[in-house]
Amino acid sequence: MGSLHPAFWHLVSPELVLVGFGVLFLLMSAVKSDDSFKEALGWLTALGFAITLVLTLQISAAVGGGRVAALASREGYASLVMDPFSQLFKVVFLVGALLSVLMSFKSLRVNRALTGEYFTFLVLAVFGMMVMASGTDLLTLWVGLETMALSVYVLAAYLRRSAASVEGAFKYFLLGAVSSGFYLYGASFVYGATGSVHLEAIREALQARIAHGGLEAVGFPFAAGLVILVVALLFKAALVPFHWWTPDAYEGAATPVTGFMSVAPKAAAFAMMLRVLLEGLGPVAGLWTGLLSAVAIATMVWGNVAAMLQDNVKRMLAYSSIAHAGYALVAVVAAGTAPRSGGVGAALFYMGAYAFMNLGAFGLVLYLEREGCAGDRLDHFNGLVHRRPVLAVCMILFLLSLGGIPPTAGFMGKFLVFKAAVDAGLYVLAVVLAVTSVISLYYYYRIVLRMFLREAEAEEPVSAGWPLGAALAASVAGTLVLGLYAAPALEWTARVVLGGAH
Amino acid sequence: MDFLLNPLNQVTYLPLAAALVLAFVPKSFGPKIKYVATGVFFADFLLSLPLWFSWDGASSAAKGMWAWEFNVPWITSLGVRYHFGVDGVSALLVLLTTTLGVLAALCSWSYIQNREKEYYVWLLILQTGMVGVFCSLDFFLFYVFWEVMLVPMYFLIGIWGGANKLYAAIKFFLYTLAGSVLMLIGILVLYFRTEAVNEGVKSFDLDVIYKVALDPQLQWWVFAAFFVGFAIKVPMFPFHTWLPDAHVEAPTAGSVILAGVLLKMGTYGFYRFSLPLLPDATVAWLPFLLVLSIIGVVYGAMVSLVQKDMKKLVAYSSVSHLGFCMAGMFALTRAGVEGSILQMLNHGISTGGLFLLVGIVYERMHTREIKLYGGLAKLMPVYALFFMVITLSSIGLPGLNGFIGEITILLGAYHMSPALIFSKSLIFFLVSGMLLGAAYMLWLYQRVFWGEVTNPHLEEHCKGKDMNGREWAYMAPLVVLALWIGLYPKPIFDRMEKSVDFVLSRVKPAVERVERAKGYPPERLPQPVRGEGEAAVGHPVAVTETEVKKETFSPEKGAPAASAAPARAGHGE
Repeated sequence: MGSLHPAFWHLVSPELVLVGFGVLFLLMSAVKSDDSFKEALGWLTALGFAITLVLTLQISAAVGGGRVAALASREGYASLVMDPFSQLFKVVFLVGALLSVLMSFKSLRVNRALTGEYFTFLVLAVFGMMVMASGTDLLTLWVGLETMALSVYVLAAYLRRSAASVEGAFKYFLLGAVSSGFYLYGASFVYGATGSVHLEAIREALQARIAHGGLEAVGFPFAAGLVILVVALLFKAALVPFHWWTPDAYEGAATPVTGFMSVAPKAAAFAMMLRVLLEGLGPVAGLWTGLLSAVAIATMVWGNVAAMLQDNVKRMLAYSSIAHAGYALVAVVAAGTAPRSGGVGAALFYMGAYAFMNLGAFGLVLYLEREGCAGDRLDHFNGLVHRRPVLAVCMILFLLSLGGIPPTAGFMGKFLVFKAAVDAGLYVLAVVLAVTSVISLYYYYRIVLRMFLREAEAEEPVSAGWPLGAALAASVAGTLVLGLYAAPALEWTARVVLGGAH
Repeated sequence: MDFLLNPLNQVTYLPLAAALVLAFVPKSFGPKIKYVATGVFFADFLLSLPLWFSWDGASSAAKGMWAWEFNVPWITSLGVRYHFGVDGVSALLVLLTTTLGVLAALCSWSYIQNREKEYYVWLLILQTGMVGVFCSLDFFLFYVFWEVMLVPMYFLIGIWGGANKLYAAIKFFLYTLAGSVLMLIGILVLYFRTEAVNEGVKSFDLDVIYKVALDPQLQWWVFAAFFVGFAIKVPMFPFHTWLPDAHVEAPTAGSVILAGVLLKMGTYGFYRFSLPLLPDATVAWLPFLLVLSIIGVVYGAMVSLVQKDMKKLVAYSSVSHLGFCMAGMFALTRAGVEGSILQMLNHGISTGGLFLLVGIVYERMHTREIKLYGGLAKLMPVYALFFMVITLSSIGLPGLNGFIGEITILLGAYHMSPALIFSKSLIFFLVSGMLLGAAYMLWLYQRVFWGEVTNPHLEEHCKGKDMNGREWAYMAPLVVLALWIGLYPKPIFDRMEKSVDFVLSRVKPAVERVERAKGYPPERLPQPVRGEGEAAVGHPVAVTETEVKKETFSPEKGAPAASAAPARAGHGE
């Protein structure tokens, strides 16, 4: 067995809190109870996320810019680390989860689907993500990944009376299971070739081999394992051509779940991808940057083009989330090509900005939801400015941010990615990023057009309740602050280093 | 506190602050909102007046390049500064913006009948964006304003536009956005080169970026990126297709601002960034740019000739006029660049005026089809007179503003270095563009105003409804400006002098390199009275220069102007 850090229990206290809450909810949901009790569970969930967030920030402050191995192997290779990278990603997950919980109440009530299990799986999913952000060996990461994935499968199928929800979740589950298999298969090749599952050890082994015989010396089994491993990660992050499950799963799932899925698990997938690729496979970046560049181009182009063709807002946002993953992937490629380009920080910032703006947009869809109608058709947005001008303005802000127009978080995020790409000399990727961003505004503006230029529907949506309002307000604040006053956030992301960028 | 005391900040953010307040005004406030909004525009105009009256070339030169500078860190880790400031040229453009802002608000009073509150809120936000673009001296900040501005314009066209407004609005938005995102690549390439000249810290500050020297190969690519962004905005042929749609569909105020200010951002971009930052690339791209400009001049004019819709005709004439501006700028002579900048202002006055005038009859007749008019001079004589003056200003009649701009540009083009272009006979096409310009404008005038009234509706809607007081109020200032610039342009030339000197001093070495490479000995060229080096910023301006200028453009000497100007234009060489 490996060695625990003396302060191990303190370091993993946020994760423990989450597991504690999860188990508690599981027990409590077995109790026969009425809706108000279950709603109280929802508030407890929010409290749990808030506590976890505070603890995470505390540990983050204690760790500073350094790197603490909470769990390490006997040889001293870390399995679970607390560093700025992991802590900041955890903050993104927790903020996303917190906003999602606040947005859930109304939707669950409208759909008469308020249960304790919902909150249990939400908490467990976030626990899995936190492990994914901190894990530094292929198996710890795998445990986190599966904990997250299994919880999210359940959440996706949550509206079990809706055929679309079940169908989407089933696709998600099958493809997810296959990709998990791929991951293990690829990891076994890498293990076979390098003799370790620890990313640091893999890195050292690769460096040693490259020092002797160049990039060719890594050998075919390793290269094959690498490709299979990367494919599995691409599945999880829903990147073209491994994105087929996304639109169905997103459209079918309950809207708060869709919002959550598009933000937190995606960020977690990126955290894991960055960790594995840069920390473990950084020395052979030449082997995967080309592949990922092609994937990034395909993702940006296909995600945006397909989104243009959608009439359902949830589906449109699903394709848009694919496209956004493509933008973030550009940052990953930049980080692989030129470690000093700030690609990791850009990807991280992007995920944080995306959490606010995308959840905000989903919040609007939720606002329009009413009984028997998901509020996700474009028509539902008609004339919103006359009915609820403040909400319409908020939606413009989210959509402009998604499209990357200043002065919003989305612009800063895209700018950082762009900057990293140009710094790394990836001009083709930068141009594709620029052009596809322009395309994306076409379909975001379809919603703006409905809100401002079409006549209002007579029907009035049910009132939102203040939790949803609070979540929207927080999203607006996040979108604006990260856009106008990004300096503090940028200083945090600037501390993030992975692999050889020290 | 310092932030609010700076006049540039005041001019920039007053409209935004007013817009935020107005957004929360209750609906019951109703149509009164237009008076408040117009008052804000007027206050903004007043705030911008110090840019004209306190302009002191000498003292601002002593302080450095920029007047009313405001420079604080914004995003330190990225090297982004909040750097505001103006030189002579941008001060003039800010003044143009605030002036047209008042007129645009005034002309909307009766045109905009629905959703008035929203309308004025967007118009005010637009004003902030436009002034911000001209005041920004940090590339990042510039880019932010440049893009922010697109959003209110989208809504102005999309909500209050004509029949095909949705298409026009999104086309305008996507076209200009596409250009600007590519421009961002160019900005970043420059940004990454600033480390070497700024003690190892990357910066977007223009003062720092001006120190960057790129090798010609890289310059070529950066120029390409800038070119896409600016050329779409100008718009240069063949990137102009968004313009007729946007102009025709936009409400009158939108067209005025589009033509008067937004198009100037493209030419301003070339002037502020492309020329001084990328001199070698400018010279390399020059033949291509000149040819495109000249195609724009001739093509825009010819397409204007065949238009059936008045507004579309004026819109295409913008393509032609802006082609003129670009040709002057890329002559890379003092007269050419100064003329180009003056023509930017002139175009704001004349074309802005034409859009306002078309709006006046449109409000009465609800059509812009030329053939439905005719004999209007009999029904609306004062209107006919205003239209005549603005028409003549647009086609460049001596004594009015257009003439000064066009003749200066032609002189500048005539004196451009022969090494830069394969054939100087291209200037011939510029002249033909002027002739065509006279043709389409006068023909328009003839068809609309002269002859008998044939359309009974015209009689019904326009008889006895000549220009009202409000229409007077927004047309008269433009006529005054047209006459003033036409008769006494010296104060305007004075203001731009130092800034133009700076730009030319940056381009000059590249021009000389090409001249040497092509075997044009410097002696062969007209000798300047004083060395160009002296003209660099920070040096007092030679008195002789000012004297010569006075002589050239003094109103009393309309005819000698043409003969004296070549000698003067030679100074820029």
